[in-house]
Amino acid sequence: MPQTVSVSCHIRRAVEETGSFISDPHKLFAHLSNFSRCRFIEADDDGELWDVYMDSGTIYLGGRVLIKSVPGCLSWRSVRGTRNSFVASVEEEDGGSRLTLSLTFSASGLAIARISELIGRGFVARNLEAAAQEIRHHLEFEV
Amino acid sequence: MDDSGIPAELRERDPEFIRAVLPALWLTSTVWFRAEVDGFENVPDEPVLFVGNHSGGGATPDTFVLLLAYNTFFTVEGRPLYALAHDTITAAPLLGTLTRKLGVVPADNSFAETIFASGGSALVYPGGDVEALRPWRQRHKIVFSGRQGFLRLAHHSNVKIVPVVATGGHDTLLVLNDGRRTAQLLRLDKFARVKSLPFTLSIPWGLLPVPLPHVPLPAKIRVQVLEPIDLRARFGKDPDWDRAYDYVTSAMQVGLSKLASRTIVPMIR
Repeated sequence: MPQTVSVSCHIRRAVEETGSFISDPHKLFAHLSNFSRCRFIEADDDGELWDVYMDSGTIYLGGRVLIKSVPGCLSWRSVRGTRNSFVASVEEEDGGSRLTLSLTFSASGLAIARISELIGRGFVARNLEAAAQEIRHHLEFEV
Repeated sequence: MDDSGIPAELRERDPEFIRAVLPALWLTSTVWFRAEVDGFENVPDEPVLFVGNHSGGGATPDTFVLLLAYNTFFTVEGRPLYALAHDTITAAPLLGTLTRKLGVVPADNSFAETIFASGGSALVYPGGDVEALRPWRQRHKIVFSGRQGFLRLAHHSNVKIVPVVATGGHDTLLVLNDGRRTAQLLRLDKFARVKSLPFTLSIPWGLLPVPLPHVPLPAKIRVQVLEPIDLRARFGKDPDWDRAYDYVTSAMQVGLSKLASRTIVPMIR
């Protein structure tokens, strides 16, 4: 059963500035330390192919993804490895912006896979929260 | 000062006592909490103000893990570390004596300035009891409640801030609610400087309307020492304190969230 995890945070930067940052995977991945293994593969008419992994300390979660982006939104779907899809979106909020990161994933199998997915929800939530905080701190204090 | 060069108010720290308790702290930290401490290589060789996030209610086990790691990394005879604490701890019978021997002193700026002047470093938890008793659902949040005194202390004393973040301490009991309103209604914030009185679930007490010292659950504890922050270099001689506060708490929040992302299964690994 697919699991979707979402986190969001307020960023004290204009929505255009936040949107520009998160929709460029080359800028974005350079500032996400918990996506420890990211590599640009190639670009074509469909989007950009990247290898994107989260390191759980035991196994790597992720694989090759096809990234599409428009101003204010970046999304990907997996083409190899852990089946997952991801959306990073930005909307205006109180003079700043609200960043939302959502990741949907699933594991193959029956009962054990369901248990793995439940444990994975917490792991993914903590990693997305760390990513959101890194993005916020970078935009608020380092740009 | 005596011949040792240590000011009178700091002489209660007892290096031989610390050396004697290190094995017990090591055993507890390693076996019970499977503790990991990283980042001491970030600490400059000069007096600094360590600033941490406070967790675990009345037990604050990550503080003892940090004290153990500091006194083994820098050695008991190295630069002494003094922890600034609520005076209900340092004045308590028995507990006060033990903690003062470990280097705990009342959280007062004059103590801190004496520590820096004598070449020591200080450890402070700006969030205090409010953060140590924050609800479990906020366990990965920095909650300093707007307290900025530590910034003025570091700036005035011209010492760098070394942020320290820790996870797992707040998994050693379950704090169910905020408790600040209860403390205000009972006027504990006025009479005892106690700002939070939440319901907790802990061993051996079970459900309690007041936090008492408890037996910590065997949660996995991680501590990360972050890179130092030089307030004078970053914010100048006359800082915008709100901006400096936002920066330090933001950097600590990033560090805490990244450390929390290393948790695979809460409490266990």
